[in-house]
Amino acid sequence: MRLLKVKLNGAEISLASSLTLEQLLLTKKLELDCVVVEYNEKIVKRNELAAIILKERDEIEVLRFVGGG
Amino acid sequence: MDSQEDKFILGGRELKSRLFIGSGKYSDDRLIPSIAEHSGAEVITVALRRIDFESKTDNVLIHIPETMQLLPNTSGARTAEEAIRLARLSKAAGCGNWIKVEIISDAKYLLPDGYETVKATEILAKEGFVVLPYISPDLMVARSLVDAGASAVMPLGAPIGTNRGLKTKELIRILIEEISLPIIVDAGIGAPSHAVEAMEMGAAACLLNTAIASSPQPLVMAEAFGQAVAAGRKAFLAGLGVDQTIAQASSPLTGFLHE
Repeated sequence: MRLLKVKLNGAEISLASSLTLEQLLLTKKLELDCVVVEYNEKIVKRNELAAIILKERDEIEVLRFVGGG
Repeated sequence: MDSQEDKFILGGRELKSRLFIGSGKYSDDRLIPSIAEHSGAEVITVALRRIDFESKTDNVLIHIPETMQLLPNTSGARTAEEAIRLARLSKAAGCGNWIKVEIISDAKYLLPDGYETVKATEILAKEGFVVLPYISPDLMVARSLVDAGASAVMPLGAPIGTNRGLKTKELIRILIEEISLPIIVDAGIGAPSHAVEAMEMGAAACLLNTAIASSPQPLVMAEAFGQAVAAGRKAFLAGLGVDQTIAQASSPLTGFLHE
């Protein structure tokens, strides 16, 4: 199977083809209601994650709120 | 003005407390609700960061009382563009429309970039954000922020996390005098006396994090800061006595035994 390369939080990772963004995030055991997701620099709503099929050279950022001043 | 009538309205919200607190540096995030309660603060800052997939960390929002006003910051931003991106992400995450614009490219003193801050403020204010920009106390930058649509101006007292107090006091005084927006002193406040000093000058509020979070007794310190900010505000409203070099007797100058 051909693997595709995407960037997740700045690190390059290899994935099986036709994985959705939601599936990728679920493999990371994330509570998806508690994170903010950017896909190729566009903000993605929670209900849009399942419709995005990842492709070569996509860039994904997953953020959460932390303590700050 | 009577302190009973002293309303502080920011971003359309009336705030009873003029102390804003941070949520960083606590030994345990579970302390945050008690810190909020002891301080009386109604506004709390949070930051947005990439998830570290290797370590399980809480989402700090679960520890913040729902009644509090969240003030996400743009810490980590080095340019206006990065700050705008973080502000939009915060809003998309359901954190509301308040944003502390913090743009820093200086790693040693963490001094903010006024030029980039004005640029970001202008764009975010147009998008409907309640923008609270963190700046060095520079009158020209502050005036530009008024024109850009900021809701307040947040000058630093001393570099972030230093606890050194109001090293920029004279410049903050000028901002309070010249700028029509609320002046919220942010950064450098390390002791309740510093907060009193800022409030006595006429600052609208104080924002601090390290001074409470790094105290051996953070709950007691939170309470002390809540009281300090309230006392300083009351003193400002009451009007301070005149500062003079020649003594003025408090007791009558007649009827002495030796007369």
